[in-house]
This record gives sequence, C-alpha cells and structure tokens, in this order.
Amino acid sequence: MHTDRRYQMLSLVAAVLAWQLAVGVFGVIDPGVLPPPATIFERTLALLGEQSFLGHVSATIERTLLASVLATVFGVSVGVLMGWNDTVKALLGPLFSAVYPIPVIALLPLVVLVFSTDSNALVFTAALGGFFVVMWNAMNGARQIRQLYFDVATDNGATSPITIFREILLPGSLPAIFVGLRLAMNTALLIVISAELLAGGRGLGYYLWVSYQTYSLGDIYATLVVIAAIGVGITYGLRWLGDRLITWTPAETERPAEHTFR
Amino acid sequence: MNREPPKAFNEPDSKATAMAETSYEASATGSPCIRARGVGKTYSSRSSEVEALTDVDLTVYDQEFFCLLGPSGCGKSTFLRILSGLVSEYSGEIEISSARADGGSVTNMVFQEYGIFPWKTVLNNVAFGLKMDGVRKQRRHERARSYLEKVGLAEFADAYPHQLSGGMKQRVAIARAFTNDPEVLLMDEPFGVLDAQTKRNLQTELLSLWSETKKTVVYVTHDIEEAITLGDRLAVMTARPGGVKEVLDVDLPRPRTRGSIPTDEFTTLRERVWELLSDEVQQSVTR
Amino acid sequence: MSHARRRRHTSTRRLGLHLAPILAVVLCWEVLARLAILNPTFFPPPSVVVGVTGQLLVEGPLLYHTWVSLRRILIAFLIGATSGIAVGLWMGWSRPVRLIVNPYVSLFYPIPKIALVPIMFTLLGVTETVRVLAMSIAVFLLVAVNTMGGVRQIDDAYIDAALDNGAGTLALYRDVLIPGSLSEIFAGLSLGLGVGFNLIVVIEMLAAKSGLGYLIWRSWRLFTIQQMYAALVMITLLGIVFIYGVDILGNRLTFWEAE
Repeated sequence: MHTDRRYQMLSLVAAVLAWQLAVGVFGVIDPGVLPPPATIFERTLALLGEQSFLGHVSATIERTLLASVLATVFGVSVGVLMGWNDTVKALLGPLFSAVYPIPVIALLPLVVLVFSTDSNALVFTAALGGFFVVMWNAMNGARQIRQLYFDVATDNGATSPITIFREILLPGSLPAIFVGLRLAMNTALLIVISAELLAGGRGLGYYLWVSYQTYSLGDIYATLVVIAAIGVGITYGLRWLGDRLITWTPAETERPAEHTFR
Repeated sequence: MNREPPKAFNEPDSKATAMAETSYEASATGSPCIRARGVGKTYSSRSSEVEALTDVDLTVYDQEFFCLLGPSGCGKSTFLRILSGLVSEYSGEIEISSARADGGSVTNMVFQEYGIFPWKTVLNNVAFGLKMDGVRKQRRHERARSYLEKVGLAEFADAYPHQLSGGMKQRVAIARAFTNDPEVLLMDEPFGVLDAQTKRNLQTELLSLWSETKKTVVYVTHDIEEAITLGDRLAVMTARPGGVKEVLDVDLPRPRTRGSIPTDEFTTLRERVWELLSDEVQQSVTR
Repeated sequence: MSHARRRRHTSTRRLGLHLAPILAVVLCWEVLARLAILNPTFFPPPSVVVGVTGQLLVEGPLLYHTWVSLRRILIAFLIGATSGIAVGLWMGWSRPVRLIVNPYVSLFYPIPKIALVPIMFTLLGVTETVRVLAMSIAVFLLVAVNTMGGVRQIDDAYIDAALDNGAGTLALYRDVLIPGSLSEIFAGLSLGLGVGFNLIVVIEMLAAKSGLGYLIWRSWRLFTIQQMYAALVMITLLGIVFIYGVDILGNRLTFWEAE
C-alpha cells in the first residue's frame, strides 16, 4: 500500500517535471497557451498574497461551509428519520425522488427571485444540492442497521426515540453519513462556484470568470489551482477525519457505498 | 457455591429411569418464576398466516436452568422473544413473578448473533443496559469491569468488537447480561455459531457465573448435548407450530465439568431426547 | 395467472402510494397560488405551468432547446460512460495501470468540474465540442473512480475460481469483473448524471445561445417567469428519464443481487 502511494506520487512528479521541461525548456507548447507549472505556481503564490483575492477565497469557502452545514443538519435528520420510520419514508420519499432529478443550478434564477439577495440565494441553492446527497446516504445508512441492534436496545431498556437516535441510529449510520457529507461538500462547492460564475459579485467563481473575460491566462490557471486545492482538501480531509472518528469499522473494504438516491 | 439441583432433595431415588418419565409438568420444585399458559403466536402478512407457536404450557422455577430444545424453525426463539417483551402480541397468558423490589429489569436477553454494538467499545457495550437505567457513569463502568474480569476480557475493555473473535464477542454479551442483573436470563442459542472448543469453554464459564448469581435461565438451543450439559430441566418442542412435547428432568450432579458427568446416564438421556426429537426434525425437514 | 395479476395489482397500488404525496403537494401549490397566498408571479399554479409548457412546445422554441440539451447530454454521457467504465475496469484489474493513471484521476476527481470550463474555452474556443467535453469529463471521472472501486472490492475467490476454471482475459472481464462491479458502475453513472446535468445547465447559461439552460437564463433576464417554469419542467423531465432510466437499467442488470 505504501509503495503504491510512493509510485503514484512519483508518477505525478514525473508528469509535472515533463511538463516543465516541455514548456519551459524545450518550448514544445506555447507558454502563452499552457504556462509551465513553475510559472503557475508563482502566479498562485502572488495571488494568494493579494488581500482582494483572499477575499474571494474566503467568500467561496464561507458559502460552501455554510451550505454544507445546512445540508448536513437537515439531510441527516430527515434521512435518518426516513430510514427509521416507513411512514415518513412513504410520505417524503416520492417527493424527494420527484425533485431530485432537477439540476439544482437550474433553480438558481428562481431562488434569486425569492430571496432578494444573491448571496443568500446562492447558499440556499448549494445547500439544496448537498441536502439530497446527505439525505439519501443517511437514509440508506439507517436502513442497513440490523434489526438485531434495535432489539438489543429495546431489551436493555432503551425506549425513548431520542435514546434510540443517539445510541443506535446516529452511530450506526455515521459511516454512511460521512460518505454523504463528503459528496455533499463537493456538490456544494460545485454549485457555489457555478453560481459565482453566473451571478458574480464575489468569490472564486466570479474571479475565474473575470479572468476569462479579460483573457488573463495566468490568473485563470492560478484560480483553478486554488479551487482544486479546496476540492482536494474537502475530499481527502473528510476521508481522513472519517477514518479518525469512526474507529469501529473493520476495514476499508466495508466502507459503505456512495448512494445517490433511493 | 455449588448449587444442588432443586429436585434432588425431594426425589432422592430418581435415576435415569425416573428422568424418562413422561411427566408433562415436570417435578422440579421451588417457587414458580415464569408461568406460561396456552401461549400461541401467529405471524400474519398480507397474503398468508404462519402459526409459529401453539398452546405452550410451561412453568420455570426460580433459580432454575431451563433449556428449550427443538428443531430449527419451531418457534422457540419466538417464545423467548415473547418472554422478553420484544414480541408483545400473542395469545395466552404469561406470568413472570417479579420478586425484586429494586426496580431493576426483570428479563435480559443474550442473542445468537452477539448483539453487541460495533460502534461501542467493549466496556460501553457491557455497561449499556445500566446506562439505559440511568446508572451513573463511574458506577456502571465499575460494575461492567468486574464482569469483564469474570469473563476474562478485562484487558479488552477499550477494544471495539471488530477486534474480537466470535467467542470473545459472546463473552461480552454474557457479561452485559449479568451486569444488568436481571431476574431471568433469556439466552437464544448464544453459542450456536461458535466452534466446538470455544462452545465448551463458554458453557463452563456460563455455568460458573450462573451458580454464583443464581439467576433463572431460559436457554434455547437445538443441540441436545448442550441442553443436557447445562439444564436442570429441558423441554422438547414439536415442529412448527411449536408446542411443548415433553418436559424432562436432567438429574445429573453439579458442578458438571468435563469428565464429571456420568457417561451412562448422559447417554441414556441423550438417546431418549434424540428419539423424541427425531420425529419432529423429520417433520420440519419434509415440510 | 392469478399470481401475475396480483403482482400487477400491488405494483399499481405502490405507484398510487408513490404519486399520492406528489399530487397532494401539487394540489396545495395550485390552491395557494390561486388564492394568491403564494405569489403567482413567482409561483404560477401548476395548471398554468402545464398549459404554458404545452403551448411553448407546440408554438414556441421549447422543443428546439430541449432537443439541443438532450443531444448534448446524450453524447456527453455516452462518451463519459464508456470511457469511464473502460478505464475504471482496467485500473481496477491491472496494478501498473492503476499506479500510472490513478494519481491523475484522484487529483481531478475532487475538483469542481465547472472550474475547468473557462480554461477549456480559452484553449479550445467556445465551441459545441467543448460544451459536451466538459460534461463528459465529469461523467468519466465519477464513473472511472466508482468502477475501479467496484473491481477492487470483488472477492478474490471469484477471480481465483474463474482463473482456475480456465478463464482468459476476455472471459475474466466479461464473466467476473464487469458483473462483479456492476452496481458500483451504476452508482457512478448515477452520480455522473447528477453532476453532468448541472454542468450542462451552467454552461448553457454562461456560454450558449441554445439549450434549456440558456432558455432559463434568458427567461429570468427578461422576467418571463412562466417560460422559465416551462424550461424547468423540460429539464426535470430529461433528468427523470436519464436518472431513473439508468437506475431501472441498473436494477434489471443486477437482478441477482439480494435486496
């Protein structure tokens, strides 16, 4: 496993080196189209030193986090409830199944009309996208908890729904919830960036679009690097956190599958 | 320390022949702890009805180790779940005399597939029942630790179940049941999935815990030798719908450690039970 | 006979139970909008939306924009899905391929794919190819990662059994690797569709003169809310067809998996 990771790093480093040599030294590709990695890296560092750019970074991160928190709170509670209680599932399931295929970003104009401010509309839209992902995963997580554990809980005197939720439902579906959380944060980031591209004002998406409109190639690449870093940070950071928090699952192989719906 | 079988005082002459008596309501004494009268249970789905239990009459006495023996699918687990309260709809009457005044739980169950939570440490699993009863953390951990020590898992208190073997998991479940200190211990084929050696060790441990604590035990199994090794009395059940075919006394001396059980009496009883069961097994297979 | 009829009977029943909550919400919306408790400018009653959608389909540009979006989605999905499944299977089976390709896939996988669009426009121009390519990249990455995961979770015993029974490479893929990872492949397809639909809509909003995304955006700009709803209805229908089509296909193909 460790040697695997080393080889993979090596593969990446080799590619970056080749790119640097091809563009920077031999000039195989026009650096006006594809700048060498060192140049992109320099530009990224320079941008990160600018106060105004940091404002865009923090706007995007703030919106993504806010949307993810909303998505998680509502997604986990609704999802676990649906996984536990068949009546709730019968009532809400069809509604969510009907709304789910709508690409959330298509709702942005409508949401903007309802919320008067762009920023709130943006967070709401992103939260909506993330909500579905967390909800399906939490629901499936709760449904796969074996009946045995509920029997044990009842037999040992766990009677109130709150106790059942705290002792069985929440810990039992936590691995699935974490998968959902990771997907939800990625969805939220995608929608936040998309909405910023469209609605503008503040944020990395907006900065990216302005750079594109003004044909500032260096800025486009640098912004992309920062956005990529956020995406990578979310995905691998949450995976790391999940492995730390959920110490009771046996192995990687028993990780819950990523669920979209149903 | 070692508990005499209750009936030994009353019928000093009873030997292997007496055990085979088809006394339906067997001859043990003591005050009755569980009384079941005409208990039945029918599971109904939209399309069909399945009668799982029919007309079960049983009396289990205080501090008795009582085994329920039957072919698979005969409803013995259902009966246990009715006793535990997990199944609340049934016909007939169940009476469990609750002698205790401290308000603790009356029954507690040990499930076949361990039933210990994978997301809790061994210690928290053992202390779970006490937590549900609102016992303070320090006190419940203390009690849980003392029983973990008794089942030899003291150093695994902070481990998670996936780090334990099957036998160790079932020890955790047993430790939890004794920590809860119920009046009646319900055990649903607790050693059914374990290998022979582990099974034997756990049986010995269970017997020693039982003789220490004097619990009433209702023990479900399909293993004849296990029922004879463990029980004071055993009830042979019929194939589905399950009912009590016969109740037999197991008049073997305790403590029943390996080698201390008289081979002749054991074999005679085993043959007798095997005969009673084989018809039922045949029926449940051909069904 | 009677068994089959009973089954059909319960499935209609189930469909009815499924539709009931949806109909209830639609009915509430209708009533609230009619009573002007919901602002009918922003939330026109469903009956009006249906009417406008029908009218625009027949007389207006709606059918054309729907067709354009459908074509983009279909091409992008087919390219992304086939390449994703192929690369994913290969990565899952062969360790050298995994070592070489996986770092790039895992690096690009978490990047919000929309951020790649401005670069692609800059390098390749604002063309139809680029619009489709952006969505197919998203589908490709999600499908490849899931397929690889699917292949790697296959029990070694199945592979050993296949090899022991004389399976060659082709047979190994056809009889073990593909069926063994099918449910993960379909999970990837489903995720890819979700992301891909969003992408195509954003791209059409940003940089296209046709497609449902463009229509939604223009309707919003011109404040023709009813037309926007009509376009939303059509994109939702496309979403339902694709997402549940893939879902149903997946369930059919993995019928042997226990519930």
